[in-house]
Amino acid sequence: MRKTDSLDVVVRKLAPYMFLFGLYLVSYGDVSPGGGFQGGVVIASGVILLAIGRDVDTAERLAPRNKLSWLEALTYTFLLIAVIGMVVVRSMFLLNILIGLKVAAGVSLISLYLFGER
Amino acid sequence: MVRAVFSVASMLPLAGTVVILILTTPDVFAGRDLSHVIGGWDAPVAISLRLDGLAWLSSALVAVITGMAGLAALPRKADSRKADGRDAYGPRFYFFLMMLVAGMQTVILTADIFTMFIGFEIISLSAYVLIAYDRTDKALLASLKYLILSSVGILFFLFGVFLLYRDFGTLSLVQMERLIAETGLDGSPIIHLAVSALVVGIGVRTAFIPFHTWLPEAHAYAPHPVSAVLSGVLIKVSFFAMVRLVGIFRGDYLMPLMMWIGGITAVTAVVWALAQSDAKRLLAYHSISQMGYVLAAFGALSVLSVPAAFFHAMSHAFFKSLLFLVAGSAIHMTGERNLFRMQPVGRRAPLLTLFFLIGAASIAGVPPFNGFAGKQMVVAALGTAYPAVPHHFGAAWVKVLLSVASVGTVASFIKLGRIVMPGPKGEGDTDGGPGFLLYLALTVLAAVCLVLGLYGREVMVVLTGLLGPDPGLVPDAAGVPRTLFSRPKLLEALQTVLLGLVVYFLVVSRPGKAVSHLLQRLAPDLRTVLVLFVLGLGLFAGVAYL
Amino acid sequence: MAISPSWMLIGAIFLIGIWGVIGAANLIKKIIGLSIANSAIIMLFIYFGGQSGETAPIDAGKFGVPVDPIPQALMLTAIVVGICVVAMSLVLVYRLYQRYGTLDADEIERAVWNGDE
Repeated sequence: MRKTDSLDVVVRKLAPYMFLFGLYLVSYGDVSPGGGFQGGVVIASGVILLAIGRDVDTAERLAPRNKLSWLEALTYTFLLIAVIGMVVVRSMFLLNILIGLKVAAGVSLISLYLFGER
Repeated sequence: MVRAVFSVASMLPLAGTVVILILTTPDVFAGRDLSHVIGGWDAPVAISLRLDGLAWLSSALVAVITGMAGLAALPRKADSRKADGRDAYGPRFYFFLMMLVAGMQTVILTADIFTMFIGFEIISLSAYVLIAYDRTDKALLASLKYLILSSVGILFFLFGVFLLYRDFGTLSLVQMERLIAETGLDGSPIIHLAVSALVVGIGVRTAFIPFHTWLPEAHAYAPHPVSAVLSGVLIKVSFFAMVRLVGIFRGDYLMPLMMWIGGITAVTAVVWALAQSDAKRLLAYHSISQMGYVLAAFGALSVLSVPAAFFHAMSHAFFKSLLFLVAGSAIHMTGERNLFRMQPVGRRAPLLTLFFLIGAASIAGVPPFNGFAGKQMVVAALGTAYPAVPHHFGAAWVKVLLSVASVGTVASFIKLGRIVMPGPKGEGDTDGGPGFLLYLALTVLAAVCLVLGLYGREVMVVLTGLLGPDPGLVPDAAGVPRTLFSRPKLLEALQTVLLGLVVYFLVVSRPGKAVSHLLQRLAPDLRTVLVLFVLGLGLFAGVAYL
Repeated sequence: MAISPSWMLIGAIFLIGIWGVIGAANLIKKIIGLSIANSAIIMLFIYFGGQSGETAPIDAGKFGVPVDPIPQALMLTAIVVGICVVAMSLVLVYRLYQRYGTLDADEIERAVWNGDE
């Protein structure tokens, strides 16, 4: 895909809105369609947009791989704890945020690794 | 050393499983089903778990076999890097192994069909990773084949779930049972189609003909402990799920087909197994063959069907994982997979020879091991098949097929015996040889093989009580043979062994070897695999409309 | 249950996917076929689930009869699973590509099995 200037500009301007939309989906998960997983994937697709439209390094500046790895492992642990204690923690909002973060981290990590290969 | 600690720690959940199973023993064995609802929501909405006889037994089987395989996979101190420089099985391996166990327990314990789907997918994902763990080319391709076939299969499973949801309006198996009892909904052709779709989806994972093509490569090229778990429990878990589903939906019309597929599978797979020269592929083909026995017993629709099928499945789990661990150890010691080129390890590891002989005797149906007991039970189930139908759908012919398969099995294991014949004594190298933990695992497995064989009848009575149509009924179940070690049966076993010897000499003779090479080259490629799948699908769907 | 055009459409999409899995020579195309077949099943659930009401299941009852939410929840899970499977398959295909330099299924199989013996 030839990198043109217009592509560059559009991607850079559009990506933040994708993150915002993803965040909306995650946080309004319990009252409207959306929720943790969907929102997480939309956030990750913002990262993927950056990776495709410009190059992987730009996406990596935003979301470095090792930090993503940490984020994912951390949220996974929290999720496990939350699920086990689900009788106590009935807050869907918190669960949605955790799931959203985890999914976003996970999917963008997978994509960054796959795109980064020659 | 630290990695070993983490690896062992990750196996602790298995101990937890065992504890729970022990605690629930009195309830389950008295015939009471235990159920539990997760998360505090109400029953139909939430995910519910059910622990009945079948679930208890399957869960125990999974825990024990995986525990033994995991034990065998622990890195030995002197063996911190495997022979070809790849890492020994560290915590990452155990993570996926435990995820596999989690998936299996989900499938076994759930009372909800969609959770069953999720469990199957967890199993699949962990299996894809585990099969490809060594990253050799063959392992990658085997994992990819399994992936494609398994994913297409699960799509059909989902289609079956859709049809069921449409008609029953609920996903909970408990609710569906109640609805069936009240309204008799299970007679419509749509439900028949749904059950066929479910069975096809599960059938891919249980590997009966024509869905078996992924198994030889996947089980042969996976790491050795993984092969033990895959052959030992994975194919059984999907079978148990099928037992449960077919039991709920009374898929009786599928049974004759299944009985015949079982018999044909048993024979065909043995023929292919005889042709193999790779030790693990031979064992993998035998997994398919023995599952044929299980399927034939299940399809016999007699009072003994489910207990006999379970008995043989359980026996197979133990002796097949034993054999895979032994073969894996031999391959590890000699660095060679081809059994004709392998330097026999009999002299270097005499204990290994003993375990091999126990395993081979078990699978060949030699008394007093569990294979002998299991096969007797399968034959008994076939003997009392379809009491209402005069011609019993040809159950007698299926018995003949199984006998032929037994002869072939004996021959194959004489052929495989090459790997443990006394050979050159090693240069006193302990590196690569089996460690204490491996021997421990092998001892446990072999001991169970022996115990199941000696006490086969008692075990069968217990199983009939837990799994038979009347839960809670323990006493002298009809049809279970008086004693397993009666003279005619022993003579039969002897006859099988002698015929097997003859077949072995045929197979390793010149023309036999030529046929073997031909059969090896006929191993299907991916496209043929998928076409066979579609044909099998058509078969099952067709039966739905009969 | 009449065979309405929607059944035929979804069936066609599914068959296209399966045809891709069986017939395509390129491994990536096989995976795409798998993904298409997956989407067909998901569409099946959602379409026929969507026939039980009028509006989306938000704020129950305020905007009309809500659609049955269960198929939608199930399909979310199915989509997740589908993504994971596709990701795994891509990784496997990529590793094979690294070793053999080709994406053709027949060539790879020949090369892998001829590395034997």
